[in-house]
Amino acid sequence: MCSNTAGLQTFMRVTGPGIPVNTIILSLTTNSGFTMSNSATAANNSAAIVGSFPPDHWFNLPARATRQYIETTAIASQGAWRWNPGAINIYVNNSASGQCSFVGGGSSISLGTNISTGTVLHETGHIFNLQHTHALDYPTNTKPPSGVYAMSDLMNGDMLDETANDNPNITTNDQLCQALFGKNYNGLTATDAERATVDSAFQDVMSYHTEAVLLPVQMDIWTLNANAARLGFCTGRTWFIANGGNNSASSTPNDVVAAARG
Amino acid sequence: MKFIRNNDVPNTRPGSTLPGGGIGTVATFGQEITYDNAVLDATTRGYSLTVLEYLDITPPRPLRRMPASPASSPMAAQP
Repeated sequence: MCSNTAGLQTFMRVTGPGIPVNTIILSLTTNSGFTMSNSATAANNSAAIVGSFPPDHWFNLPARATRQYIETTAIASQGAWRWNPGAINIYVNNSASGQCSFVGGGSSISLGTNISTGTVLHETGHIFNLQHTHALDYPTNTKPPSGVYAMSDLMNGDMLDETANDNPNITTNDQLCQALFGKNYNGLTATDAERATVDSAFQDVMSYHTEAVLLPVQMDIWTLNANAARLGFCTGRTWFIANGGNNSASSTPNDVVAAARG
Repeated sequence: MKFIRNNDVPNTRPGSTLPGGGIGTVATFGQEITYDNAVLDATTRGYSLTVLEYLDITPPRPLRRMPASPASSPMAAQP
């Protein structure tokens, strides 16, 4: 029962079938931030927060939208949350999907238990600053009712030439192949460059599709961050040896990687 | 790696109602890490993921404190 509504004027109180008592629906615009009751912050399109904080609050919180909330709470109460500053802290609750931290944005991963294979590596890729093969997220990408996608439905999320433009709403490699080349994937042979292009997004760990491959250029980015901002999560570092076997004169892998890629 | 348990039903791990438990068990989370490490092995860069520990935690519900400022903490006034 909410008897004191002071300060609630900016929110819409709702009731209805299936909505728990005292549920407050926050309607937010894209990328806007909001403040939760414990002063943690998050940036999401929308979130449902149960104001009465039931006993299963943390158990059923949507992991996909509340990683920052969980991390802020965990750091403030490290004993209860068994926070480990020397590791990527992964919290698994009873929801679905997950959310990660990019470099500079935290050091945790929140996951629901109901995820697709490869999701832990996908979120770990974000920890090392890998971006999605697609831009933005499901609702902000097109989803043609016909299920037939065109090149204009694809966007570049990672700014890498090595991965094809992508759309998270695509569910089959035929759809991506049709959008890219106007033909079905099954008609391509293993040596077709077009097939490799489709795979560069559809099979990529940082896509929302199969999550089976990381490309060399992505591992270059991974390594750059593993050697610097994320070194604390690693048991060692990668050293770069210049052509000819001499130690690299560069103090950062960037220069060598850039040189190697021309 | 921390499993958040249900305060309502003590000792209940996430995924306990899912077939196979999702990634809510040590075994199934381990299977996910095995898959991830196979993907990393294929890159030939020498990286692998290692789970340091599996822990069950039951963090307390957030405290409902009086707000310092209604504008900055709009939900905190709820009893």
